[in-house]
Amino acid sequence: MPFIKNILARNFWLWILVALIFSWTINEKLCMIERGKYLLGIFYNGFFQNSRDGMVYSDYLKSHGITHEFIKSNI
Amino acid sequence: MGIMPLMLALALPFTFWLFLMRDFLLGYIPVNLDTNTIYAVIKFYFNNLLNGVVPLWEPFVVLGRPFYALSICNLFNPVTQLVGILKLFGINYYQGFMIYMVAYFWIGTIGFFFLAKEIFQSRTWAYAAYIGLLFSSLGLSMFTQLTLVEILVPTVWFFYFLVAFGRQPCRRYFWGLIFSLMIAASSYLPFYFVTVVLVFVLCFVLLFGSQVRKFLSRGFSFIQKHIGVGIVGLAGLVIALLPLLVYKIIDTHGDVVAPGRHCQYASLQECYERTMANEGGMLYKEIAQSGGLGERMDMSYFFSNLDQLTYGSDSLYFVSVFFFLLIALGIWLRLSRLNVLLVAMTVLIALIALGPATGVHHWLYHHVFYFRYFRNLFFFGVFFLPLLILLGVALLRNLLAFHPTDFSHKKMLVTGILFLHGCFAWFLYHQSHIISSSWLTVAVSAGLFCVYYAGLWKKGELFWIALFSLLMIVQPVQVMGYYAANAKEFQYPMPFGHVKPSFAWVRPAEPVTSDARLYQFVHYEDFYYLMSMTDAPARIGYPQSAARYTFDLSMHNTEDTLAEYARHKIVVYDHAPTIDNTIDQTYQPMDGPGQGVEVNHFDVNKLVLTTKFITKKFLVYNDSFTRYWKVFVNGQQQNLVRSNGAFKGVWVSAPTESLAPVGQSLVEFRYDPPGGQWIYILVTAAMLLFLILTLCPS
Repeated sequence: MPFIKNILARNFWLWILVALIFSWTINEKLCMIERGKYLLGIFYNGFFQNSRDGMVYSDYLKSHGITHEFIKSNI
Repeated sequence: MGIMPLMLALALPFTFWLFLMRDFLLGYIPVNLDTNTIYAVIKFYFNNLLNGVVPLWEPFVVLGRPFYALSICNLFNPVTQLVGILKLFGINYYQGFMIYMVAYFWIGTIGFFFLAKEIFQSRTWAYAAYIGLLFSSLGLSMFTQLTLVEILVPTVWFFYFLVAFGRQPCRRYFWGLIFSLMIAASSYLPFYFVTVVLVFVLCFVLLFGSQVRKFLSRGFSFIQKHIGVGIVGLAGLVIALLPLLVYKIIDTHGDVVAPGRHCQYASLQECYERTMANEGGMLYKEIAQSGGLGERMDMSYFFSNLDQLTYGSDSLYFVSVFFFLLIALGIWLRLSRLNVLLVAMTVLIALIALGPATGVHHWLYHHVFYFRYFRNLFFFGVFFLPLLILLGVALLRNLLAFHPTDFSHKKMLVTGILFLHGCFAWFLYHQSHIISSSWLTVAVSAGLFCVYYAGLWKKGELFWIALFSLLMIVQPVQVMGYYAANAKEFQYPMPFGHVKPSFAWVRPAEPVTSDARLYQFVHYEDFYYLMSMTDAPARIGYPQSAARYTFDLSMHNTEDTLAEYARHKIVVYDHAPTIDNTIDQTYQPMDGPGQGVEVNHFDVNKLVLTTKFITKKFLVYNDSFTRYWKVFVNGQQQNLVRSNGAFKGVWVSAPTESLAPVGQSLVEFRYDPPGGQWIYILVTAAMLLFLILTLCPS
């Protein structure tokens, strides 16, 4: 029993629990849509007019699947 | 260590921070976004204060409205008074504002040092935590979102005094607790602070139940022994809440509406109905549409594209990659209740801050009343910084507590360290655009831990903590460099001159404009009129705040009709115009002095006119009507009549009928809300008193 207790009393399980809570509770697609809107700057300069002004983390958008098609169908 | 060596030790890294941020501090890079708004508000406040008036009304925008930012911009904090005091010594408002911002930020990091000292019971480890916060995003983001600093600083000091009072109840800590509560209540909407405290209480009760009873018993015992101190503390809290109370009274009467809250995502009809409904609070849809943490953050933001940080965003969250590395290295360390507390608080706050992306905020919106009254949930992200840093420092302390003596133990630890660093490097490799200092931090960390565990360098704990603290700075220095470089394209001189407002008879037809890049992100006119104290055109739109009847009038008339009429500040009639939302066009405009009306006095709360009419006239001051405006004719209060739907009107007698001996009438319009100007002076004085009580040793 002390052995099992020793194994369980590690941060590892806490980290796992946090990862599970986040993965169960967070609607990642909704976050992605919100981020897409924000990064594309529609709250500031109108619809997609500011791709050159530093608001867009273009690499982020590309690497996270925010494509023109995604924008068309979700944003 | 004495106070002077300690202050020097704290000042040394802070001086380096000042050097890194010199382009911001010297004004080459102007403040942006909400910090720009806060600067405008602070300048407006202190400029008027130095003119002898506590500003309660904004006569220059949207045809006049209450100065609604009065209770949410940290204006009564003793540190903020620096802006006014420095102006008296010839330092302009912008430089004074910079000094206030930086001083307040530093005070916050010093508070964090003391909090960490209470938690770790060690100055050395507290110093490491201090370095972590000093070189986090907190100091960077304040140039675009000062609200984050305004929320965090009193929270940090509150927790310091709470822990210290819990250990050793004494007057000084009690005063500190009250003072930090007063600041939290008056610097911005206190709902973020309240939420974090409730989250802490929940987690603390679950994890440290036995200590809660001890804490409560000590607290009650202290209050029983010092009943007078308790009463004074309670009075301080009540006084600090007065500005919010006045705001609430004005809001409850419905004289002020907030179209900006209700119209951003609504049809015109919905916008009008929700704005005028005066139900208080916001719909869940209005809160959830934007401003959630999920909109502003992704975990990868902590690692990726740190060379592209933009000055056009007000939601920058960043701590050194070393803290994430420590979390990875701590994976097999023993659980401690402190670590569980820090992680639980971080997770709960994150679940709330994520808004519609989790169900937690939705539940709170329907079950906890105050969740209807604030949005911008991403502000909660600022609390992650101290929580992550405390967790990282706690883990580092645990990691350095290992002192392997035999070779196999050393070998195992070094292998484990290299393996975990390798895993972390692999994780970084799969993120995009990792800056060089991130790799350097990982590599140096691996080297230092290996040397430490292998016992190759026999040095004391202080030496190793200093080395690891230096490692915490490596990546932030590069990030700060990129941030300043990216922000340089925003260069623009901010208005800073003292203004004595003068009464303009006619409002301009066109708004001021600026092609500065700074104002591509926010509207120039949002700041300009406050800073310059000049009139905006007579147009309403959908502002954050407007007088109720004025907004209503703007929705029932075309923009041009209203603008053409209301550009004349003073008009007179032979009869009283309608109270309805129609504009009586039979007015005689007063476009300057010498037409029977002269201006005797003008400030933001008051207009005094001298009239010389041949016959009895109805005078209309085209500035918004609310119930707290009063009118006096020759010193006698008269009935203030709502005229043309939204403005202030009064009958003025002809000279023969007048009581005035010289054949003229003195007409005074005065804004006089509950408490008047004095409650704000009282709040400022009370804050100062509690600061002195906190700092006094006995």
